[in-house]
Amino acid sequence: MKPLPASFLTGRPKIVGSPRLYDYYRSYPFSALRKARNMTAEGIVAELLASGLRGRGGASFPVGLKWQSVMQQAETVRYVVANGEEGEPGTYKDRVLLEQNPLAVIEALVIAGCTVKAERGYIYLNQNYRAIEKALLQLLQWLREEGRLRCVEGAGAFDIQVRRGRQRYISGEETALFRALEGRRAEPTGRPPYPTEQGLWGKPTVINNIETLASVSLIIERGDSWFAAIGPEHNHGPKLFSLSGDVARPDVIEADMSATLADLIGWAGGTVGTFKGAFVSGPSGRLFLPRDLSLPLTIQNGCGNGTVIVFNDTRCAVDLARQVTDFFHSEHCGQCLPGRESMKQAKALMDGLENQAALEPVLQHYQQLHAVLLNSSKCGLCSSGTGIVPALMQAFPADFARHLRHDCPICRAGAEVAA
Amino acid sequence: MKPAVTLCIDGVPLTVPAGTTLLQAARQKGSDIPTLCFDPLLEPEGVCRLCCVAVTGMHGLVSACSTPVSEGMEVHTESAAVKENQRFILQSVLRNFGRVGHDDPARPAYETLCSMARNAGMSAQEVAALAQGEAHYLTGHDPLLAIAPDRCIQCNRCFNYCEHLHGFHPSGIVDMGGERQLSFAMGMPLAEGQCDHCGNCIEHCPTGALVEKWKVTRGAPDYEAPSICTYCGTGCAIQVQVKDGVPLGAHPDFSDTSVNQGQLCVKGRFGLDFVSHPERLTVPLLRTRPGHTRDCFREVSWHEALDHVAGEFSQIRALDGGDKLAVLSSARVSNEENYLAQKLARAVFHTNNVDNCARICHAPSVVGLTAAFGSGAATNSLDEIDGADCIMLIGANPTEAHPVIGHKIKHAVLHNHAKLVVIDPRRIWLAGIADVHLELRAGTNIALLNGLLRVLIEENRLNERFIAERTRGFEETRERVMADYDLARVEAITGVDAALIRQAARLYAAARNGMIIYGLGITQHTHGSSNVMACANLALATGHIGRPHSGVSPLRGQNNVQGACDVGALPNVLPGYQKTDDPAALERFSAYWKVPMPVTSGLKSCQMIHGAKNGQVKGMYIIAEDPVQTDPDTHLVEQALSNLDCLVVQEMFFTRTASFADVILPAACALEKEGTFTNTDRRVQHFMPVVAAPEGCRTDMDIICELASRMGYPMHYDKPAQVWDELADLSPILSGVRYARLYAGEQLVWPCRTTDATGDRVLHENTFAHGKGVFHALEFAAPEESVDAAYPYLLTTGRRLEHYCNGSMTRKTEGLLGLYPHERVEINPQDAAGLGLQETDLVWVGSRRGRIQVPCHLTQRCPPGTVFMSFHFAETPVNELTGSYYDPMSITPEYKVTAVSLAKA
Repeated sequence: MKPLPASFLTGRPKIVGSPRLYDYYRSYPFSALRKARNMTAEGIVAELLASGLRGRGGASFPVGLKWQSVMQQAETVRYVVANGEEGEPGTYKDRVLLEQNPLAVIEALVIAGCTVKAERGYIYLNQNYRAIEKALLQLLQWLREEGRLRCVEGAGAFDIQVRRGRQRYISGEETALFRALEGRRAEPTGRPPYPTEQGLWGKPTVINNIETLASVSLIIERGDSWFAAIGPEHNHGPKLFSLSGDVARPDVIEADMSATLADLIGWAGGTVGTFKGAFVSGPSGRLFLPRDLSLPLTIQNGCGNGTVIVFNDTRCAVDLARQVTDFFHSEHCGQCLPGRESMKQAKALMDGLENQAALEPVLQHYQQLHAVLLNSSKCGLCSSGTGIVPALMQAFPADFARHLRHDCPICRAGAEVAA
Repeated sequence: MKPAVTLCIDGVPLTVPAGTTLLQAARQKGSDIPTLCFDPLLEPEGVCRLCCVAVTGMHGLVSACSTPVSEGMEVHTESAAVKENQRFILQSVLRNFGRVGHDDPARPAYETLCSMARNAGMSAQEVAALAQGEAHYLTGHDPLLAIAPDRCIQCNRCFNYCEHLHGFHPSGIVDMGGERQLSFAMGMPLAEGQCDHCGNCIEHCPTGALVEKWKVTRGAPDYEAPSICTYCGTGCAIQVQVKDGVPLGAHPDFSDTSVNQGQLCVKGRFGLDFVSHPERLTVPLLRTRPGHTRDCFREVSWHEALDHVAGEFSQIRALDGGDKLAVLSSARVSNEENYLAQKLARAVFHTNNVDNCARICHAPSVVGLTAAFGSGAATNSLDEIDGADCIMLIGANPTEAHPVIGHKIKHAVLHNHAKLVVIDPRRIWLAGIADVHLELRAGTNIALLNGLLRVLIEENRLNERFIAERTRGFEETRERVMADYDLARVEAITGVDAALIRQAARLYAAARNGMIIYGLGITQHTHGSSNVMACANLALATGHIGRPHSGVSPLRGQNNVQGACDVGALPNVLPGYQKTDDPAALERFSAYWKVPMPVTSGLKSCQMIHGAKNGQVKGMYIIAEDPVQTDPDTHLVEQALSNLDCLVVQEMFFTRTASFADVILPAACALEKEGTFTNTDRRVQHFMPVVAAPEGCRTDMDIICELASRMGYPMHYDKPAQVWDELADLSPILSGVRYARLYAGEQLVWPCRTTDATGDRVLHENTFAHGKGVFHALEFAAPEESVDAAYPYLLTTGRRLEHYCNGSMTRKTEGLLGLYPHERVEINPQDAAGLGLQETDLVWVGSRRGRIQVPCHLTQRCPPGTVFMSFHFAETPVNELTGSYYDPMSITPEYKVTAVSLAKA
């Protein structure tokens, strides 16, 4: 087993909820912020571009380009937003990061605010992150009192507000998150216009994932070449992985994107039982099978947000497919007609699986739904949820065959336990 | 000019302005892209995805409605992926639709969907096979609307349109994912919210999921036919929906040339079934004994009834002279019938005693505007409301009394950045979106309007050039205003903060185009005519007149109150506002009618009532009016009518006035005959019968002609067009309006003097009708009634959204009565607390003339010290409280200020 790389983003003691929050605040060096004060906005963006940092929320968009795009807008009222919704099942890296080093995120948000000349920043949190919210509010209060919520002393008033959302997967989608911050229904709006053009309140907005922002602080502090030296080509920098499912020690693991699935499972104590497969980047991501264990989790291989849900051979693929389908059926927004109708049909397909004569038509129908969603749904959310189920059908036809025969011991046992 | 963008749609190059959407560009090119959620009046939502098209180089499809064009784009609207997407969406919609029967209210929408599906490549069989199961309309949520949740595609057009029109959301979305739905279906009755049931959302539903409830309970209409709504002076063009011979509802006319341009209000849309109400009078009734119940009459033939009437009237004419007879014509019947009514009075009865109910509403407008501008009608058209920078709304509540005009004002304010000044004692709906609301004490208009003028003078905001070139009399007005109306005094009289008065005056003066719109809060006062002149003073001082989007426009209350006046149903003017003392005009009429013209001056309607009481009038012919309920001081009216030798009432229903008649003649209503109405902006609109009149009912034209003939003056016309031709020949201002032009769909307003003119939308453009605009120096006088210890509250009266006039129509339509079943007196909660009143408690409202019992409604709409009631309900006869005080110039009664006492019953 490869040794675990050094930690930069995590590896600290949990500070949220501990009595030592003030000590943490006092001893935090703010070296990135100090350095940023002597840099121009263009210089900061150049550094980010050179570092090769891509967004860590799943879409992997180059961060420097995003900031640059906002800077180029004619509109002068701008916002910066940290996306800490983290609603994807199995994803909890941002929570761990915030619990250990919340000031890195605040620091980066201040730098972002100064760089794009935003008048306000928001940190949007998952509903369950109450303790993190409390700590952030306290830290922001101290920073505010000391006048440190800005890059340049005496610069215009920049402030950061913290919002905790509803327990909604959809509100992690950028445009839906903006609507939630505006007090409206968290539903995606069409693109274009992109958030960098018309985001929060219709103004140009930088929206970055929590881990992305923490990485920004690292880049500013240690330099772009230090960051670019970590990880393989086009996949630079440290990366957090949320390991869960049938592994011995589920945890957030900090590595880089040269790590293979086998490495990550090894660092998490190995698979419990026999490895059957994994959802990489969560249920909206890609299905990894035993033959994929040696693939590095690069962006090109579907690393996405770094979530790895491992399942062993005691799990039935049908049960997994049903859970994924139900999850997206209830968690998609339902506003666009193809999205709503496709998810209804997908759920009906899975609910009625046992009444089908053969798997092939079910697979084809599901794939058709996926194609419709890719083609014409209003945002990318629904199509991201319908990709993995056909993959499960193709990878584990035997599991589905058992269900068509009304003979699945795994699910029956589960049903009996539930009853 | 926006820069041009060149793109290619289905291989055809096209250049359009930047910012154009793909949908607009494709439609410009002639491509037929189907849409469901797209609404030309609204921001694109892009949720139905039916309009998705392919763009070379882009992943997946893009929605044409929300994607702007960009340079060099290659768009494909007919590709396989596009068609496949359309099929998927339409299949989904049609699968949820359920079976669609012949009587299904969503049939038209279903047929549109089917044709879209066939265009997308589905066969008719495939389409038909999709319709499975039953769709269910929920009818329990709302008195007038029904929704089929399965058919709803959640396009949001209904409530987005509502927000666009009214500025609020009548419903929302609940749940998410596969359970997402509109909250219509949650069981929240819309009637409990702010919904005013205009029903315009229905027109924007692309799938027929949201429909009128009657279409579910009674079935789809058999046919539709055009007509003109009769529920106010707006003159909305409607398509009446008829089922089994009953006009159950209406849809608006959508053409841009119509007054309403696709909008209607609750009355026009849902309030037409009174036509077939079982209490409709269908046989002439002759009094057999004294009393006020139906059994005091016996049914007689038309022959007997008309002979009786002709005999009685002829006898009075022979023994006492024609001036002992009076005709009270109606603003609810057609121009032709009003013309005949005044012809009956003048040519047959030989009297000028003819008037119409404009007397009790807008006669001061005619007096005041004629004095100031030389013409007594609205100076500008309704279309111009959108485009005014400042609207000064005085004493009018258009969102209830003229809802479609209310919509226009809302639109101007919400979407076109018009400033709105509301002058009204009550906090009416529009006050909520107004920039300034001057909450004056009822009856203090002149002081306030003089105060506004004072600000214009003090702050040098006058249009000096306009005053110098186009007006006279300003100096005297200036002196009066400067001498007596300093803002401290105005504030003391009106109770309005001087700072607000200044703000309002500045808004009006600063506007490029300022429009004054007023209603009965200006006219129904003892100083009504002066109030109108005070409004005119403001327009003259700022030059906001004689241009589009400016002027002074009264909101005429009844559907043909403008027309009734235009065609001479007034005691002092002949058709076309020719004076009764103009020898040349008299000569012409005398020659045309072949009778000598009456020369004595005629009685105005209120004078007729007083005349009846003191014997000056012995016989009265009342057409479609109900003065017992709608004239002030009911007891006086009752005494007067009882004192007549012969009272003939032409009506649809047994009204309170009809109960005093000697003969009741059953008349056909507007939906049952042909004619023209003239709306509040002088537009002459033609209508044809939509349904047949009940057996036994005759048109007013028919009855008047019969009566005249039986009184020895043969009057015969084959059709209303002949009447109109006679009228137009005799009235220069109408001479260009002809039936042939109206049939052809021309929108004509008077003055229209030649057949190639379409009439002047904007009056007084280069010169006023009488030369120069005239300022009037006006003096404030307190209303006749003032509060004292015994009568400490001010009662003001007006209309409710759901009802009209005496309620004889609206209270006989199930839907409207269901929305507002009985009258309530509106009291400020502060006053109510002092009286120990709770919501719905019964209250005695007493004035110096009588008292009535009515439940109360506590609301902030009334300021403390003021209470409000409508006059629609015979059970709550508010006019038993109002007094007989009149504007001396127009003899229009005071309805807006009555001192009353309140006591818990």
